[in-house]
Amino acid sequence: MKKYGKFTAVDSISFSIRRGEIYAFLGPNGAGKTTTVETLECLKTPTSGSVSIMGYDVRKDEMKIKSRIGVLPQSFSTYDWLTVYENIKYFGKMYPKHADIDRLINIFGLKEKRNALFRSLSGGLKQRVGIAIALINDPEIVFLDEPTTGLDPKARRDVWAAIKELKSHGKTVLLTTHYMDEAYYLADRICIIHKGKIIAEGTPEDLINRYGGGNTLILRECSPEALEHLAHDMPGSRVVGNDLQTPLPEGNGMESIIKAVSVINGDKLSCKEIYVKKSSLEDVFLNLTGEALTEGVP
Amino acid sequence: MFMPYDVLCSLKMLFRNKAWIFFTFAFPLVFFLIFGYLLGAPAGATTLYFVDHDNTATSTAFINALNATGAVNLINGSNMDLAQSLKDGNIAIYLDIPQGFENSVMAAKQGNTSAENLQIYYDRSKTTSLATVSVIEQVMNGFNLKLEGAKDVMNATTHDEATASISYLEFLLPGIIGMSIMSASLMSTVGLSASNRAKGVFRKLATTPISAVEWNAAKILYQTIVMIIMVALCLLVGLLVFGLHPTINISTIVFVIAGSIVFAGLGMIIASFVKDEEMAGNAASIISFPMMFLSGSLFPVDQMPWFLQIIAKISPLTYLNDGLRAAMITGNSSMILTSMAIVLVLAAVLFGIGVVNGRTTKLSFLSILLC
Repeated sequence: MKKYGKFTAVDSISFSIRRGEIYAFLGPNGAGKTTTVETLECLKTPTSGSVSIMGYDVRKDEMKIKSRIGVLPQSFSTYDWLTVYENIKYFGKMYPKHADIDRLINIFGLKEKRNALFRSLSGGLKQRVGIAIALINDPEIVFLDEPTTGLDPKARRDVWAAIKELKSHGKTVLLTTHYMDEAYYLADRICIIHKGKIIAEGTPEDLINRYGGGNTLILRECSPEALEHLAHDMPGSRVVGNDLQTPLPEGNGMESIIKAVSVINGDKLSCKEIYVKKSSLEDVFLNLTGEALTEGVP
Repeated sequence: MFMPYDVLCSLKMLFRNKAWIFFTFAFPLVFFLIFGYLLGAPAGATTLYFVDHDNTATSTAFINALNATGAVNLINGSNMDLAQSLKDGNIAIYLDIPQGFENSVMAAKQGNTSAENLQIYYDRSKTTSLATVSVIEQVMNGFNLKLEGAKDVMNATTHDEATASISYLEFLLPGIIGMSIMSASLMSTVGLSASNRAKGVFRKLATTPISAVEWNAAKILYQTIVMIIMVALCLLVGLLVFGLHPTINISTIVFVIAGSIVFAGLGMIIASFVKDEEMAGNAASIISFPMMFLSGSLFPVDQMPWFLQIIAKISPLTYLNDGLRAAMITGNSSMILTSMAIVLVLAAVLFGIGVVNGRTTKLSFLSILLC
């Protein structure tokens, strides 16, 4: 547990991470993700409870832990007036031994920018330098705190590729994010945190199957006549604007789809398109908390 | 080894950033040159123009007596329009010896009429003119006494020790060095702390095994190197432009290093209170600007009004300047010791507060110690 005065940031959470997996803490801003990882990184001391990492106690063995972890802090950016190479080497000098700098530069596709000043790099490249710096001590566990916040879609893809690269090198990755697509794409297992508590944990598919509420058949842009007929004939359906949404029973979606198609066909009704929306982590979060994970998404 | 690489990187960053270079090195030199040229003109003889309309033995003797004082540099202005030059502000003062001066002096000596007056025209706004007037008056008194046949009873010999030993330029050089130590150390500490916090560098450092002691030592070493370069530049300009030869000894070096630590500590305190990067820079400017002018860097403290002297008393820079001036120029050993004691205590206290404050507020790299 971690308290700040009367505010409890993280309350009695318990989790374990397996070697070699990408483990994601998913939750909205202020959920307690960063507090949790900073406790593991020895940046914060828990108010109560025990935290062990690689068999070391965060209260007693911080030097041993620090030499075996690599951290990319939230919104980290390093020295503007040093080159990529100098920046990585700079952090390497903080450890008794460090990995080969040019090898890291190659792994993360920074070869062309080796001697470019950090300030001249794009957001995605800067973040990749940050990840390379996190790996300079050849750590067993890599912490990535909100690695793609503020990046454009292309840069996010680049960073995701870099994170996948970590896994292929056998690193255990602990990721925090408030992007469900990021967690879905990258994580082997996801831990959903809300208001300082863990509310669900599992593989992305597992979470979606358990809490996603199944798949939904969507009929888009239907005429008023069509909406009336369909709402009458499709059990459990609801009208949202000009759309009709019908939850599909697990493992037996085809029957509903065939029925919808035959209703439209038989009565010569007009609908613009028909598709099945798979439930997402967004739905999982909404169903578990009654709140949207991302602002603006209903 | 972290320290040498950290110092190397810090120097690389400094020399790659033109704005920092200007602020650290050119800025103090610009101040030095401007104030040196403005106020540091040699305080030697002032020029006195004269017109001798009388052209007699007495008027010539009077001119010679003026010349003999050595306090004025006499120029004969008979073929110049001195009245106009004075109006134009080109000259500060001139003396007009009217025709019939000798005759009227003789007449006055015989009878009771007083002699034809010497005419002195001067520009009150020029500070040197009043001094020149008093030189003329003294020479005149001497003449009067001689003419009366009086014998000198009282004599005074003046010894102009203070101004002879320290000119404004010699006053200025240590002041400029003190001022640059203050501004460079304060600005770079505040700037680095604020930007390292904003960029998450402190957070990153706290997850590495680097110790706060090593980090701090590296920063102080870097700051000292920068200051030594800066001091060397000031000395070079002082020598080449103004011909100054100050004393450089161990106490000068102690003042340079301790001064850097004082203002690094002050910078850390400012950075811990003002969290926003831009605001922190502004706060540092607001504090350093008055210090620059009110701590005896550019103007002597004892010539300031009493309320500004109070500010000078609480400004740490005053003691650094006093110490540097004593060490480099006057050699006043009791002043060196007092100032050094004050500066060292300030260094320990301010740096200590900066460190402890950084730890408790977790705003600086010293949060490492908390883990």
